[in-house]
Amino acid sequence: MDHTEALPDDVLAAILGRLGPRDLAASCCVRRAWRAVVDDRRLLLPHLLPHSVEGIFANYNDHHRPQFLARPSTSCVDHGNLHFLPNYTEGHRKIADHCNGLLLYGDTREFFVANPATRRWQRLPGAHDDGECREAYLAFDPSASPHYEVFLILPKDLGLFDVTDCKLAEVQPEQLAEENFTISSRYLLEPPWSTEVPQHSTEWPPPVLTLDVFSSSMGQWQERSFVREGSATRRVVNVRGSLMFTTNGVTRWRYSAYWRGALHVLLCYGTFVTRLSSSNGKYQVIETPIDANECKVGEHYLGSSETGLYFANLQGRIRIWHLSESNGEVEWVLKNSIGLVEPSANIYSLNPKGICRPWIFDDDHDLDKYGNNKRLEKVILDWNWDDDNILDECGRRPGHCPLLGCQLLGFHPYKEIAFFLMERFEAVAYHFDSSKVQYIGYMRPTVDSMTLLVDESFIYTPCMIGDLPEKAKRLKRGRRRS
Amino acid sequence: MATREAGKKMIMLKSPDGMEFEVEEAVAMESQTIRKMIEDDCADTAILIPNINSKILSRVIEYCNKHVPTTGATGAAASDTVAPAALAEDLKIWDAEFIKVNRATRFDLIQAASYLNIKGLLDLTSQTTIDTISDNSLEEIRSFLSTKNDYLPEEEQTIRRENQWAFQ
Repeated sequence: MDHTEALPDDVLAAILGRLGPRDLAASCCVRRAWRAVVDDRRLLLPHLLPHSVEGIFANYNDHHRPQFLARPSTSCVDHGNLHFLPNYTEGHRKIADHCNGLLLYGDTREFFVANPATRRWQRLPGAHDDGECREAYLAFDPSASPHYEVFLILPKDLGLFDVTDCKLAEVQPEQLAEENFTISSRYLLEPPWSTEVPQHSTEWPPPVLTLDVFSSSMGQWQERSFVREGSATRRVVNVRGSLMFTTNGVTRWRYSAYWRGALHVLLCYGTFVTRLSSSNGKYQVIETPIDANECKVGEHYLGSSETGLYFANLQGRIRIWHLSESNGEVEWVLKNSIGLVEPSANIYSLNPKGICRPWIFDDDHDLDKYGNNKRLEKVILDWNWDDDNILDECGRRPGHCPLLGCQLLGFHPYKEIAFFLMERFEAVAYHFDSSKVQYIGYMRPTVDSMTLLVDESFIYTPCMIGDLPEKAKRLKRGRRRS
Repeated sequence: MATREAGKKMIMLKSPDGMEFEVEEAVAMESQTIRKMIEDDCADTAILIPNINSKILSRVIEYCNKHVPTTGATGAAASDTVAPAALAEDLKIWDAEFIKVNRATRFDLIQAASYLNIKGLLDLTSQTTIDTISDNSLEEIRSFLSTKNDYLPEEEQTIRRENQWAFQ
C-alpha cells in the first residue's frame, strides 16, 4: 500500500521540505503529487537562488586562465571547473563579470555566459566592435527571471573624462567650486580608449545614453536607449591632453551590482554610480557620498547585499554606505566606519601549512583530465565561518581591522565579512561584528612569474537557475544513480 | 481545569474513537498546536484531537512524556545527578526503540506529529522517509515507499531534464 498517498499536502511538504536541494529536485520526478507540493510551496526555490559563498574567482595579470579558490564543502561540487568552455585555457581571457551565480567570460571578440553550478553555458553572438575599449557587465536576477542581459559600456558613457577620474591630476580645492575648468597632468600618455572631451557647453550626463545590450530572451545584441532621469548637473571639465590610467585603474572601474531590475555601475575612482534600468529604459546618475579628492586616493567598491545596494570606500578606514530610497529621493546612509590599522606581527607570521582547513585552490597540477579539482574529493568537513582558521586571537582590537594596505577582494553578500589579500596571495576574511580575521587560503597559481598579481576578483554565489542552452559534455562523477 | 497533584495542571485529550487521556499540561504543551489552544484559553474542557486514533495518540503522548524538558524546580535536582550528555544519549536510544514500528504506523505518526506540530517527533518519524529518498534512484525511492510512478514516459523525461542537475 502506498502510505504517501494518504498524507495531506502539509505533511508531505513537511517531509520533503527537509530534503537537501538535490534530493528535493529528484523527488519532483517520483510522482505528480510530490512535484505539485514542491512547486506549489516553492520548496525548491530558496535552494536554487544564490544563498551562500562557495568560493572566489580571480583574474590575474598575465596568466592563461582565471583561477578559483573553493570553500571546503562535502557536496563535492567543483564550481571552479570551467574547462567545458571552448578553448578555456587558451588566449589568456578573463572573467568579465559575475552576477548572482552566472559568469561572463571572454572579451568583446567572443563572450561566453556560464553557470558553473549547473555546468550550462552559452556563446554570445559577436558584439559590435569598432575598436573602442568597452567593458561588459552582466545583469541577472534569478528570483525575477531566468534570463540575463549583458551591457557593453564605454568609459565616456560613465563620464570617464571628469577630472575626478584622474588619479594623477592635481585638483585645487578652489577649482572644485567652479563650474568649468581645465586641468593638465604631468603624466600625459595615450589612454587605451578615446577621451573625447565635452565642450563647456556640453551637457552631462547626456539626455539619452545608447548602449549595446545582449538579451538572452531575444538571443541577440540590440542598440538600446536609456533616457536620463534628473537634470544634468555635473560639472563639465576639459582635460588638456590625455591622462594615464593604470592597469589596476582599468579593472577598477568595472565594479557593478544588479539590484531590483537595474544595473548599477561604479565609475573608476568612485565619483558616481550610473543606474541603468532595462524595464523602463531610463538611467540615472547617483553621486557617491565622498568628495572628489577622496575619490582620488581611496579604494572603492560597489556591491549588493540582501538588504540593498552599498558603496564602500577604503582610505584609512573602511566606510560602507547603504543606498536608501524613498519617494524617488536617493540618499547614502553610513552603516559602518571601521579604522584600518597595520597588520599585527602574528598575522604576518602565519604559516599556511599549519592551518588546518584552508580553502582549496584549483592549481593546474591538482586537476584531473576533465578539469575537476582532485583535492575537493578529499574534503570531509564543511567550512565554518565562525570558528575555522581564526588568526591573531590575542591581538584582536574591537572596532579595528588590522589589514591596512591589503588589497580588497570583495564583500560577502550575506554576512558582515570583507575579503582581503595579504602578501599578494593570502586571502583572509575580516568579520565586522567580532573584528576577527580568518585565514581563507593561498591563491597563487604555480607559474614562473615574478610580477604575477590578482587583478580582479569575484565572490561567487552559486545559483541553480539560468536559461543556458549548452550543456557541459563530460559530467562530473555523481553520487546518485539515475 | 482538572487538577491531580498540587502545582501540576492536567489536560484531557480525546481521540475521535472516544478514548480519553489525562496528561500533564507541560506534556501536552510539547505540541505547539495544543500549546496555542491552551494559551488562547480554548482548553477549559477536554480537547478533541481529530484524525488521530487512540492507538496513535497514546504513542504520541508516550513520546511527549519522555521528551518534556526536566527543567525548573524539580528538573534542577535531576540534572545534578545525571549529566546532560548522558540524558541526551539515553533519549536517543529510547527514540530508536520508539520508532521501531511498521510503515503504516510510522506514516500515522508523521501525520499526527505534523498536525500536533511536535518538531522532535516529526524529525524522528520523517527521518526514515528522508533516508529513503536521499541519494537513491527514482526506482529505489518508489519501491521503498511502494509509491507508483504516475508520469507518462515523455512527461517523466521532461521533468527529469528540468531537474537534470540533481542526477549528476
